[in-house]
Amino acid sequence: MSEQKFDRGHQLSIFVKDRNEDLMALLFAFLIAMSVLIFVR
Amino acid sequence: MVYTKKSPALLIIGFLLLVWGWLNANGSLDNLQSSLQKSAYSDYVKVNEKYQAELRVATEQAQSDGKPAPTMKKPHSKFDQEKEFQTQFCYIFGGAFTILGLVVLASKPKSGNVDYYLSTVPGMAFILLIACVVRWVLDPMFTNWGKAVQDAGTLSWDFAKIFNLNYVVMGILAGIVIVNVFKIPEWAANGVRTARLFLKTGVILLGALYSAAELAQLGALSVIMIGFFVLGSVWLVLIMGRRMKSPNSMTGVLSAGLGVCGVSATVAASPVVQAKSGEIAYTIGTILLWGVGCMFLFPTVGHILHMGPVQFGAWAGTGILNSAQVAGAALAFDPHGIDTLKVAEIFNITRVLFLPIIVLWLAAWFVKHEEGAKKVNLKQVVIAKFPLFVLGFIAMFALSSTGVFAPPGHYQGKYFSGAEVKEDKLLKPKEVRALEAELPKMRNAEETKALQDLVANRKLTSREQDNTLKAVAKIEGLDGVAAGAIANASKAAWHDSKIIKAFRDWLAWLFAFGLIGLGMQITAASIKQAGGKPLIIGSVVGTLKAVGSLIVVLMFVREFV
Repeated sequence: MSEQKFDRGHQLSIFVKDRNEDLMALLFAFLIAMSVLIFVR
Repeated sequence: MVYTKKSPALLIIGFLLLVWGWLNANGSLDNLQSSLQKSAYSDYVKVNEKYQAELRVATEQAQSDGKPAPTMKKPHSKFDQEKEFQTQFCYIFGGAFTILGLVVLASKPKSGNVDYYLSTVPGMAFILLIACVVRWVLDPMFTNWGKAVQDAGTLSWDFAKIFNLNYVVMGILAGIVIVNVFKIPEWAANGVRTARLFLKTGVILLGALYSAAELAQLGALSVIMIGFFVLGSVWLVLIMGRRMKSPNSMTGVLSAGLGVCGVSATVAASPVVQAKSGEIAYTIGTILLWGVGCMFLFPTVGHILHMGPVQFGAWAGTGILNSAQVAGAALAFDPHGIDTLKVAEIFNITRVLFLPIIVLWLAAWFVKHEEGAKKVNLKQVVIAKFPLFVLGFIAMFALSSTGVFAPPGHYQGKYFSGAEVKEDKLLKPKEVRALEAELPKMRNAEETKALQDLVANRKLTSREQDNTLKAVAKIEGLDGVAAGAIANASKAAWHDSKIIKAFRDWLAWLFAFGLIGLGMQITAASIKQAGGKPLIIGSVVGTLKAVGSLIVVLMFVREFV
């Protein structure tokens, strides 16, 4: 299955490395968890 | 290279969201909302009636005392909360998109990181707009439609439930329709590629819904049985995929989807085996299609074989692949009891905890078969390939088990606490009298004590008491008021953690966003290229898993669950 080529990242990600995407997902999840813990009571 | 396209699209999407928020705030959409959010609206009617009645009594009392009419704050119903949420959501995102839309139109972007990441915003706004339509309009519309068709007697089953027509399926379908019928606009192309990032964020947060205490209720043998079927299915798919010469990326992602369960496992395993968007969609499609068949077949087989609620729950939780369809089959088998559903869901979520093992296994398998490594160095594979976000899932599960988000014994945010029962939820004198009158009908000392304690405390104090009295409520000839009192006491003692509920809401949005984006990358050509092999592998492994787990459940479950 050939997929479209991109200058940076690939069809499933805007990141060049999957690890960068993982780190960003971890950061987002951390921010969401913190905001939930702070604002939801 | 400059990525940001000069287009008014972002500005228009921002404006549309602001308009929806404003119409919601001033009540112009109340008629539409009441027809879509039916259960929330009925809550609104109830809360409003109660408020009006209390206000009338207080006003009459004040008049008779010669005091001025009192002012009472109108309580918030679920309907008000939903409207308020939609309004705030639209104002925040609509405002941000409008400002960024103006920036896109006014600025002259230069090549670089700012331009690259700014170019993703219009596409993300486009997906978010569709996610709003799916979550706020299509999802409730199909839910209401399915119920209406069933209530009218046109169909004897709820088609929306059976075919899983919720935001997960409709999100993927919406994406597929858009890309295949209209094509993705150029200004949205980069934003569509953020879909997997948000799916990964969703998988991390998924860990917060489960706790080790709940899983500890399963016996060790049950965990071994679940592990055997999860790992066995993965192994079988990997063997069949190699034999049938299916691409390694397709085989890998299919094995995770068929072995563990559905969307989360497919997403978690996809980067490890470098799965393409079409392959991810194919896997999710195979699992959902298989699940629809199971939802019809499993309850029928369960009744033919006279399976008990625990047995059927264990079978459905092991043999059916998708979480929502596990719940659907359990409810179809036993619509009124919760035992089947509870057992099925616990068996089902235990599979999710095998996710890190499967991901590690697939990473090693892929290195061996794709890169031709003669000997796999597991340490190097972990360092180079293990997806870090799966560690986030484990961390959230560990935090959830320690009770950071909700009491440690919670299950998807629901937990038992007699101490938190509010004064107005205590049993009424009429209910207490009805329960006292039923004491002679108790069949053993345990039931008598549980009922006596309920009469004395006017509330439940332990989960064991709750379980005992649930059995009591089913005693033939028990007074209706007494049975209702037991149900009310149980309802009052079970609470829903607001924090976990907030996580569930975030999850729904993240998965809706991610799946719409994923759907937008699936063209008819990519599915055609995947061919029929994955479907054959899925059917063979799915059948073996269903039949094998049925045999094991029938032989052993009665003894060890």
